[in-house]
Amino acid sequence: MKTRREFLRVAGFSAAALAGAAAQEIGRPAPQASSRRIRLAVVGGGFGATFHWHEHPNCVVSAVTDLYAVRRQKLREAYRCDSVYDSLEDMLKKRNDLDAVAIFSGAPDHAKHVAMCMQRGLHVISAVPACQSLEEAQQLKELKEKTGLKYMMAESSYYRAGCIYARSLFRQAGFGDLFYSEVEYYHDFPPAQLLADKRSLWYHPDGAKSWRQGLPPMQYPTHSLGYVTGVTGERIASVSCLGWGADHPFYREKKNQYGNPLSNEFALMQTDRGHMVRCNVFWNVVANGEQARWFGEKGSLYMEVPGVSADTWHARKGKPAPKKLPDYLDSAMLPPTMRHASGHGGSAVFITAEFINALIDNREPECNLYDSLAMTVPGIVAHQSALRNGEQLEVPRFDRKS
Amino acid sequence: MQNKKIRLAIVGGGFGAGFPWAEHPNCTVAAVTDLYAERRQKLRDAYRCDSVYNSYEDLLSKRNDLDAVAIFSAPPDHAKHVRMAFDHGLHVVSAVPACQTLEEAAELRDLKERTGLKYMMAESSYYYGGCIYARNLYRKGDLGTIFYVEAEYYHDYLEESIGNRKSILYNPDGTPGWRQGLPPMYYPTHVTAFLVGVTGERITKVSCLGWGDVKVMRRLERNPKGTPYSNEVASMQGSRGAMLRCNIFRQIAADGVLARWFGERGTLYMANEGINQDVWHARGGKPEALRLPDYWNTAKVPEKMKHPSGHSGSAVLICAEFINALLEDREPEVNLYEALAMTVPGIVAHNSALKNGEQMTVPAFERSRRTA
Repeated sequence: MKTRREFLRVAGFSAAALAGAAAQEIGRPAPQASSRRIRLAVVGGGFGATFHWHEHPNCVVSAVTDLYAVRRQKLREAYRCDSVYDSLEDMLKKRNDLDAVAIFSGAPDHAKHVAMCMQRGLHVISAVPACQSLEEAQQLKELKEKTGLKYMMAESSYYRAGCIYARSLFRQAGFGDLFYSEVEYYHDFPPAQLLADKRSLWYHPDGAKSWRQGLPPMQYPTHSLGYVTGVTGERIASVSCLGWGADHPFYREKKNQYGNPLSNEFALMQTDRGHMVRCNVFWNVVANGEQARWFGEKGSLYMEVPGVSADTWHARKGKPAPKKLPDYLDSAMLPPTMRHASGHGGSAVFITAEFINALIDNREPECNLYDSLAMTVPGIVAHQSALRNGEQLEVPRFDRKS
Repeated sequence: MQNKKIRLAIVGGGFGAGFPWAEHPNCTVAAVTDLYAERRQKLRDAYRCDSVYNSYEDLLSKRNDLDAVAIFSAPPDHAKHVRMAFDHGLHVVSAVPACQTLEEAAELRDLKERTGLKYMMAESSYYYGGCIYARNLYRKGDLGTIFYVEAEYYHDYLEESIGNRKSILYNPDGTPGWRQGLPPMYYPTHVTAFLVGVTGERITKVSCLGWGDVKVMRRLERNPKGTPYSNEVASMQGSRGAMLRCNIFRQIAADGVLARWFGERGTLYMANEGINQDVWHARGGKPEALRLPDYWNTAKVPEKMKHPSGHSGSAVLICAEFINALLEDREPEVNLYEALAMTVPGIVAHNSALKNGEQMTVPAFERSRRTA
């Protein structure tokens, strides 16, 4: 006899099923009947070496590549894959047996690398953000619709426990009207310190500048906006963004590869449903992490701020109370081999599973291209607003034609 | 000067009855007034003052022995009542906010500069423990440049108060009070004080969004401006580049007047009941819980007034500062220029919200050159 939860999984995510599923369901279950294996290439051995592709029974890592030897070695070891290439171009030229590519290259290269793969008929999972310009957003959308290939963005915030919980609660109408969200990504890169540290994220293994040096904060908005679009599915319609630059020539005199004066950006956004969002990305701040607070008519949910506050639910007319989040690892979405703690707030196993599951099921993954662009594009516009001292700008949409 | 007594009249026996004026050795409450008998009684009892008047107008016409007036009437009347006091040559402490329109702001400034009288706004946030701590930390340089402040005033009274004639939405006689339909940003000073009152910075630009539950807003009996919003969130820019996230919500599962300050050298969190303690996070360190001093226990507060008081301990500090400033013939801390710098950005913010967030410039009402 099926348990109630298994029944709900089979029934899919109808509204009624969700209402009964408490906060436990995270995504559609891993395929049980398929012995098919997705032949995946992994591009980029930094963040890209921290996923669990080789643990998924329906996936085999059949090629890896990075421009740097030290990272190629990391990939070889992480995925026990000996088909190692010196460049993505080389790999694509030599291999015609691949199904999909995982792009974990530098942020400014994502759109270009995704396009290269899609043009070769390969499905893609890409590190965040999806792109760096509105033109790239349009190209990605056109390419995806022309080829019909699958695209997923590996947004970790989407699979952080607080976000999974918020999403479930929202879908069960536990917030009521969710009128205001506060989302933030704080990552302290003090310029003097980072510039002096060749082993920091601001440098490549050979000591060359990495893409992170000087990247405008809002060009990397998805960890924040994942908590909006990834919870309610909403789109951002307009934005007014302010910026501030840490007191160092790196920002003050725009001495960086992007000519960017701003280390911190603070945006006020309005959604297509008339809701309000405060979205921050700070590169120079005494605070750390990707967090959100969601305010709905029925209550407020606070994600943990380590050392400051715990996960908390404040029911309307009640008192705030610490909230112990469910253990999401016990999920049919994850093949049994993958039910373990993982990187980026536990999101790595979920991202891995969702992409492979979606390809086996021949369906769109969560964080598909439209959602990804909805998490990426508002940041690009926000930075333009910040450069104009906060002028409110409209955010173009890149959604599927209905 | 030790023996001098400021002869003070109190206008308004709601919030106005909650201050310890009578405890200051240099202050005598010489007259009290309210339009409602019940509140007149409260004032009489609170300040042991038997000179009670049925209206402010009546009080001003009958008394010519006063030094100053404490205006704790309704916000839409503050500017008018302050003007009346100035016209009679009286110094003023006024409840927040200073005014409700830009015209009133200009008028207050002109009048203050023409008469040379003292004005103070009784902004409680300015004297909250967390705010005093932040101000001191900032002045010592321990916060470094403050680049971002997140400040808010959350008070979930609207929905449950509609129809409850004993609630703060109604006057003592059961008629709808000034709170009904008041745009949230018309009452911004508890929030803006956390930037203006800490760094002295002015707010130059604002973009504001609003939200309101239509079902709730429609039930208001009085909404003269047709305000659609119970909740407003504003993005404000400071004259020295600080960014302020300024929220005022009347429908929300949260409660408090509080702030978080983000400086180059550290981050300071004000206690949020049930969520977090007062916390200081120094650069290079870990977040540490703070125990704030008892700020009422300072030399500037007369002995008799050294005790906890209303609005999170701010009441004794407000009383002491106003009376001390008059005795010392100096401008009080939250003087008219500071008060307008805390009030005016909210007026503009609401206009921005009505235009769906269009960014607007905030006019400055600083000391004009002729009095500089």
